[in-house]
Amino acid sequence: MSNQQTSPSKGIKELRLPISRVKTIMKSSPQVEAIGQDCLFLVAKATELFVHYLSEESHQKSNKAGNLEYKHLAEVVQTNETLEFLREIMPRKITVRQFKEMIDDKNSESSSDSDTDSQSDSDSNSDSDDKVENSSDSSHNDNDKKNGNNSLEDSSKDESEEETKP
Amino acid sequence: MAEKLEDLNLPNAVVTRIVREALPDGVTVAKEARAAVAKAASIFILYLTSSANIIAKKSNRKTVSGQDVIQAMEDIEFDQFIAPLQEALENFKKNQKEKKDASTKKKQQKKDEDDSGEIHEDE
Repeated sequence: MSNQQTSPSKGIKELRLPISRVKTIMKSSPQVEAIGQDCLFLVAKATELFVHYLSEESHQKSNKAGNLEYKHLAEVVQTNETLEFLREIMPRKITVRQFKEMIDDKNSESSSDSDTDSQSDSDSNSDSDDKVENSSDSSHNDNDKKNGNNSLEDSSKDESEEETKP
Repeated sequence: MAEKLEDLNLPNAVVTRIVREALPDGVTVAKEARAAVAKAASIFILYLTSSANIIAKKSNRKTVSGQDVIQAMEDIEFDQFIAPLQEALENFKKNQKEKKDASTKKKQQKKDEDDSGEIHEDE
């Protein structure tokens, strides 16, 4: 009798990820209405395989170094086609110097565009700056509304943005 | 529904264990890397769920099935996972069936016992 009771649960026990947590994450997607038992099991299993694959792949890319670091993962994510969906949440890290250079490049580009305007009238220039800020703000709000349902992706995006600005 | 934001993360310890199993012995995993893998796994769940959900919706089903998930793996180009998942699904179904059989057997046994008990009372 005891043997019979342990064998059916073996299939679930071979999973390491908590099935309830996987379900919570799946349900956080607003389009999903109902999830079958076998679907839930397979998603959990697939996620385990995915974690295995991502770590193995990153380790190989790192020339089998003695440690696995974020930069190895980011490198694989940025170069591997099938991992494209992670590109936004796992950007390559850059140094402060690189970041400053990027900002300088951007500034020099935009200033060369509006060179004539800024010299002719300072008032009109500040006006146009305000407009630009407003429009970008409102577009941000729209994005927020669209993504508002998916709080997980939002939070991860925010964090990744912080990571790019060390 | 998720109550706290942490409910949408997978437990770090479990994820780290899977990472360690994938790597040769002696390789250390940086804390930052562990957090990133856990986050990536959460995103993967959502990515796979929405792909499987689209497949289910296309055939006018509200419930996402196991077969939808396997088909979604193909869509998101993780073909190498299909064979192990197919195997896992069969095992899972077999186990579910065993479980069901065991519980019906149990019920039948209980019923038998009840019946015999009644007979005893009559005597």
